Amino acid sequence: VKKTVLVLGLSIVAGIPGCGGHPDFYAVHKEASTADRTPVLKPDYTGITLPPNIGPTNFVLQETGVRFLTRIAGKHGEPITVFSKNADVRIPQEPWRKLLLKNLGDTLNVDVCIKQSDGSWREFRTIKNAVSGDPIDPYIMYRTLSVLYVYSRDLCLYQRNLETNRESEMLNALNFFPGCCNCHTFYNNDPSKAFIHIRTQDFGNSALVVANGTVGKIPTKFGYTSWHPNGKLIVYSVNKVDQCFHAAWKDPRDAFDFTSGLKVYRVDKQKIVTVPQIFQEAALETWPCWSADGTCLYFSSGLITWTDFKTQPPEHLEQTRYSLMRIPYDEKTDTWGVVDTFLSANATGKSITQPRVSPDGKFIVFCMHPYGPSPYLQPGSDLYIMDIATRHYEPLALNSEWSESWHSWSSNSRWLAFTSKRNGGILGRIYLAHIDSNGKAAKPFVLPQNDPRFYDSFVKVYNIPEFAIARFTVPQQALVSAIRSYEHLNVDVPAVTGATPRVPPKPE
Amino acid sequence: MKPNLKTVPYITAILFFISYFLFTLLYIDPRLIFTFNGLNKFSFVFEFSREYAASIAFVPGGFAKLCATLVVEACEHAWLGAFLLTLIAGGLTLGTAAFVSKIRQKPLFVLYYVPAILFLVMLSRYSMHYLPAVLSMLGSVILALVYQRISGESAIKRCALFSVFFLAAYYLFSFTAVLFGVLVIVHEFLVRKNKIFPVLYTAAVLAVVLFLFRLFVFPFDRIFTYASIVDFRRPLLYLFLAVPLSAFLAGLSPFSTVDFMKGKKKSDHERIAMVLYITRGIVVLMAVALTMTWAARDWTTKTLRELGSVIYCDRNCLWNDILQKKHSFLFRNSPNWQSPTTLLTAHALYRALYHTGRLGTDMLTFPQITDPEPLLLWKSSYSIYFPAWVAALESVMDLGMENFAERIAGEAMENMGPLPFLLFRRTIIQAVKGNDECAHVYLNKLKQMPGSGQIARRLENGTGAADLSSNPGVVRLRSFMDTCDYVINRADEEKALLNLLKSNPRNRMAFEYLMAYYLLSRRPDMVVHNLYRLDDLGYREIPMLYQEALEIYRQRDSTFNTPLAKLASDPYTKARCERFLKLMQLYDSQSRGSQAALVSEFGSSYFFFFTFGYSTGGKS
Repeated sequence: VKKTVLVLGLSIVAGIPGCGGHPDFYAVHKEASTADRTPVLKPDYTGITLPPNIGPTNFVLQETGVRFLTRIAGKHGEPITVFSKNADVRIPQEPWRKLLLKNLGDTLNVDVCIKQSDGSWREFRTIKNAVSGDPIDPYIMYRTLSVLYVYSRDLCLYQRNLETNRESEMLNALNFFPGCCNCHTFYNNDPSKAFIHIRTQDFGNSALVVANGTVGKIPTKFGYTSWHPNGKLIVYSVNKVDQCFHAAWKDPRDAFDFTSGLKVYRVDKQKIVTVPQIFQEAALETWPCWSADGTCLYFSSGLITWTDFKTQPPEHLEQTRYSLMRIPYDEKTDTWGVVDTFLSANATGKSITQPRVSPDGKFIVFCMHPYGPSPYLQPGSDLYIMDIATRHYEPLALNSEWSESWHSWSSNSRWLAFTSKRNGGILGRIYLAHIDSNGKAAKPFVLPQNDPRFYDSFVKVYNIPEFAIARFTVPQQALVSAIRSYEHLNVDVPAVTGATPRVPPKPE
Repeated sequence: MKPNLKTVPYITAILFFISYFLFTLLYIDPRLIFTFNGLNKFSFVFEFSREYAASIAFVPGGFAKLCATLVVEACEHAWLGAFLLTLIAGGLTLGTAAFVSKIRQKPLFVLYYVPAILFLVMLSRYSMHYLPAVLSMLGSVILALVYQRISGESAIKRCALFSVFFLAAYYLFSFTAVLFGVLVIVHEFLVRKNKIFPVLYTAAVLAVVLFLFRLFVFPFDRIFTYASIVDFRRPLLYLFLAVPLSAFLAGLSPFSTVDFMKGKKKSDHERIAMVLYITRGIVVLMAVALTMTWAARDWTTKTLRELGSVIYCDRNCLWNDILQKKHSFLFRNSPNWQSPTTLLTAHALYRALYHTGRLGTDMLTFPQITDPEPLLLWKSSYSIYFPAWVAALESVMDLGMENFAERIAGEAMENMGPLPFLLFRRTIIQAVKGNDECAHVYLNKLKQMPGSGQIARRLENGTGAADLSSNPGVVRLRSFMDTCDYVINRADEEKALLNLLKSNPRNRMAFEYLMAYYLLSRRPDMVVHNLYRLDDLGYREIPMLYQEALEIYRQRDSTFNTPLAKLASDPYTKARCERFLKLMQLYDSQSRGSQAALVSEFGSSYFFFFTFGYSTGGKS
């Protein structure tokens, strides 16, 4: 009996793919016929530049066969061979990490041999992926939500370790349902100082300020935010956002601001300040972003062309274009200069939004799209890069026919995370791309997942990816307690809040 | 021959549960339970995916949620659903009977049926969000029963067993583990009496453990997510199940039969007690009967059933079933679109009439008022009323308003969960719009749902998996799709339908709905001005209601000579119009019987509807 059990056990173990060993790659290589193309991978991890510390880029071979043999090798280090009965290629974590580190600045070759049903092997051309010498920030925080329109339920902020592909929940909106967790911002990519905007029906709208492990609550509406490099100042937008629906657009939605403006929150003094230059009555200021040295603030600004604040959407919305503006700021004297049009919408013919300055201060990446403030809903939105010194701008080579938006720089200014809807126009996914010192982008690749078929049935969208240099350590309980608490920071909030339209609606 | 009294409870039980099964199958109709899934804010969706498995395995109470989901999914097949629901009721009855009989001898057997009856009331209201709680209670009773049978006398063994079972109950049924604790303590109190203290101490320690578990081990969201499914804050639950069950299990000594069934000569005191016993039995039986009657005849329940039935038929394209239903009770006083059931019934009627080719002729054979809202549920689809979303989704998809459909489907899926019928429609919408890759994501998600593989394969088989866009159904819908852009928020039904006809003048449904819109808005001029479209759409004759609108228009404008469709109007319509006008003259002069004649002859005509602002339908 014991022998039978032993034989049975060994047979089962030997039957498990990978456990029973795999055919020698070189032997297969010798006997295989050659296909005159590279194999089709899903997600498309071909011809890309990989960060040296990225987790395994697992994929599915979109080829038919009965056995799949994949070999990943570089000039140095131990090659990885994955042999399986199905087309899923799951790369082991530790050998992958070692292989990447040994091939910094070099190339990884991916060779695929597929056994056909007649027993013959077919080998494809080698896929060559570059391994960059520039590491990527180890964490990325983002939000996932359904493709929804008015009523939300299932929103969640996650953080992901890019080195291991492990995802964990930061804040789930079900904890304060009905509610919504919106934009999150970190101070210089450091999650120990964070800002998270919350909207809830039962506990009010607020912003959570996380600093040194403690969570404070500011009981007012915050929109898009940007930390000053000194960490004492946050500029945020106050937006009266609404949305409308188009009958024949690819993406049915369109969002717009009836009114918007920028305000300043002094973290050190716990005080909200209104700066007239960036809170003008006739203008729609939004999307703030500090320069790397903190000497000026970039933001987008359009003109209010409507007087009726009830008609939805407002008249002439399609003609509202946002320019890229800049205003100097003197940290020592705490004074603001004069607003300057950095890149005019009249010159580009498009709206310029979501400016993000690279941490080295050299480049600024922004969205350009037909009109309005919402690039993420316009298929025509593309990412552009501008050399701040020369003001020369051009589209990044990572754009698609669909919307690209919500971009974030890594702390070393060499990686860009952004959301793209290139896979069908509706479901936004996070892509990573290398940006070289000249501002040229490599081919982007979708955020790797442990399950290579993950995206095939994931019906939610990703947005607001933000790189982080470390793990966000504040427990979810602390965030939820702060949201649900009646206690809040004693912030001096001006009587006129951002929620109040500054141009009063016409009487009926 | 003396009847064998011992077999009475068994015969009663068999008869009761056969009746229970038939009542559930034929009256409650488990298919409606399946239809209501998600419509009342709680949805049960099972899927074959790691995420789902994790949400079950790593959440206290996940097991109860899984069981409830499987039961609700099984309700798609009426007989299977009825069988499972009867099984749950049987489990509740037999489990409690077995538990109680161990601690009190021969209690009044009729009381065992109380949980089953209350469960039936819950079913008759389609309140399935209580199902995980009910299943958890059943599980707790069964665990308590097992404890009762195997605990033995040893205090250590009892405490160890109690701890293990309690933690297992917490893992499987979440906070319903408390019920298990209560049952065990009741058992210990009545059976072991003064030996209860070790178990009490253990219970106290476990309560602390449970509290710490909730605080540190399971994150906030898990607890709250689960609480939204098993909501113990609702007093109704206690009213329906917890209170009678607890009182029952606590051992109501007056209901015990032990003192009366000894067969000896009875004293006066015993005779009085026997009378009291019989009286109590009758009261309980009457209460049970009343509960069943209430469950069956309650107006709310009837309306709910009607609503569920209409949604079911509408979703499954059972047009004749919709048209043959007796909707008269809904329109008892007059059609009132404020009532959601009436609104959705009218909506389903329009859709059924269109699909059976009768919208232009028989629309007014059902009671109507001058409000076109039920046609497309234009305003209702912006409110938070899930059944209206689902109903509107079907119509606007058929019409070709794919972006509007996508908006509704998005709202519905976010709030009702990824239900298979919503995933299916989103797949179609994205395929129609040419977003194939996105359509495949929805389709792959759909394939993870049990029983949906066939639908998914059918969708793919027409074309091959790679190209949903060339599926014949998708191609047909695409030919009707809106290609003229406009902002939906600024539009009304008329603009939306006109734009559909601008995108494709051969969109017959858009045309008929537009005409119905004009008819219901009492705008015969617009009906007449759109009659020219009949030629393109291949009509052989002008539908009756359009002809009547044409006669009305001619009466108002005698010089009217607009070139109409090639089709001629029926002379009989003109004669009817003249007859109506004569009757109207009599009515205006308050002639006796003229009103009755008007209603009986013209109650379902456009002449009547245009004049009085409502139609009487088939009613005289």
